[in-house]
Amino acid sequence: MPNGFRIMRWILVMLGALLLQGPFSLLHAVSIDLRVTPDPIQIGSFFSGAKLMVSAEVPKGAEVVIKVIGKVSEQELMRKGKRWDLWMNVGEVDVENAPGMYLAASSNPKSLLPPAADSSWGYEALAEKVSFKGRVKAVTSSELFREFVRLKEGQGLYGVYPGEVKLSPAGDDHDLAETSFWLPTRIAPGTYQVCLTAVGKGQTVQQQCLPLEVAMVGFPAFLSSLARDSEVLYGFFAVALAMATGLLTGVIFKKKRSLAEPPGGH
Amino acid sequence: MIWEVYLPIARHSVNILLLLGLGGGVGFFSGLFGVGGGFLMTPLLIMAGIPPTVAAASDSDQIVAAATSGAFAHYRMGNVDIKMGIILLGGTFAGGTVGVEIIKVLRGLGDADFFIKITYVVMLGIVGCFMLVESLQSLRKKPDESEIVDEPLKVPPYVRLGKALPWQMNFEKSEVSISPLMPFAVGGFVGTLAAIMGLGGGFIMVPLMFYLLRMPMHLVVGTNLFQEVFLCANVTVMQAATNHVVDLVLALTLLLASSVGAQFGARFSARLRAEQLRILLAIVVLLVMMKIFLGLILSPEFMLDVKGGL
Repeated sequence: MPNGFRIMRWILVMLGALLLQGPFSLLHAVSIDLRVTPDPIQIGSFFSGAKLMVSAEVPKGAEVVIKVIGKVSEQELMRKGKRWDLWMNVGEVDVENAPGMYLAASSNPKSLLPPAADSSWGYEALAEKVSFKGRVKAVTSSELFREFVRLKEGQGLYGVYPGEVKLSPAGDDHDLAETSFWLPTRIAPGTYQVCLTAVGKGQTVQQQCLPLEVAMVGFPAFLSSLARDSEVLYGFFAVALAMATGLLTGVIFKKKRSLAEPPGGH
Repeated sequence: MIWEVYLPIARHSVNILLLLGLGGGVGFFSGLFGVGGGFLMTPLLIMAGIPPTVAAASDSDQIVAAATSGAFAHYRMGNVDIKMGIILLGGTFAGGTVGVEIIKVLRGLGDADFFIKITYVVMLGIVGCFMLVESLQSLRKKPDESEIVDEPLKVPPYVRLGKALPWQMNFEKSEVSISPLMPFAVGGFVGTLAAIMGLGGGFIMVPLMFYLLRMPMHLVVGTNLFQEVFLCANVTVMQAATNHVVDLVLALTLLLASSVGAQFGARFSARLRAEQLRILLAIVVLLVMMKIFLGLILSPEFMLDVKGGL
């Protein structure tokens, strides 16, 4: 019976694949159960950044890489250089395929940093995707990428943290993976991806991603939408508020202190 | 941390005590010298991590508050020549339009940023050195000579030019009689430079009003603040409408502090002689010039920068 043969062949192929994958083959059964807190991240009037806690159950013995990745978009940068012995912007550089945020932590202290045995994660993996365009002479892409990462690290938007994912036993066949990331106040509102990859013998065993929402709330959200949607009204509102504050301060000071000085005090 | 305040247009948080300190300090200078303080505040905000475009635009709004507060204080003391202020304002509006066109051309050529910084260094250097030397010379004169420093006997060529131009007008408050073309041209020149540099231009306007228009120093201070209120109000609305870079939280925090600081500055200015005021302003101007110049000659921390700072 053709159908019976087909099913038998399919079962044999699956068994073969399981045997070839070795000790990690049976670990597929473990559900990662990726958890991210807080979610969503709310940017209010006194937002001072947020500590993002990430945890998951992973197959025992697996290495873990956890990433927080922002939206990929084109970014416009200016390259500095010297002309007539003076530092100035010498050319525009467009960065393509670079995420707005890239934070990565691993359980293995030797991964993520170059020269890594596996360049699937960390800056090496990112460098393969990111490209640069612009009127910049005598500067290679790798130099530009180094400078780009330095700039982003300075803003707290990029970072790699080898060995920062802590693994602890959580059962017979799985470990509990935990790490945390500091999200800076410069984080742009939008949807981010928190991804966990479990790796065994250089192969991806399991992977799960969760969306993470970052949104302005309250007064910042109100002002941001007013500035974007009613820009002229916003401008006049800003001026009226400034004039009123200036005048009010003047009146308060007038009442507080009698004008003892003669006019034109010079 | 409760001390971190989120700026929704700049899109990051800054310590509120730092902003209040900057606003109060610059407001004090504004009231003391009769300048908007943009040449001080904008570089300081950039140093505090605010994107340059947001810093310059939001600073315009805080100058409106500080200048309103300072102008009001000076008006009460009878230190504002409204007739002169309106003519200067007309000139700055016309000059501002020319300056915006110049920037457009330079941006097209790709050299705008360098040109703006060099303009800063040159203008601040010239104004600062000139004021410092002149004020020190005035202080060295005998006491009876310094009393008449506002009205020197020697008439320089630019004053003769002002008197030779048509439509002579008497400015009773300032006790000068010149053609309105002269303050209009001064306003036009300052307006052009202010548009290029993204400032109110008070630090250029104050010495020009004193040396070229021969206005008494106490009227220069109040009248400049009066015209800066309207000039910066116009810039704020334009920046909000076209570039969306006016951060109201930043401006509000700065202007609350600067309005108070300006009141103290205006009162403190009454205790200083005109020469002492000019020496202090000259030193501040030269310090800012040195800071910008060092930025041109010292290696930057990062070789890449975000375009427009945002």
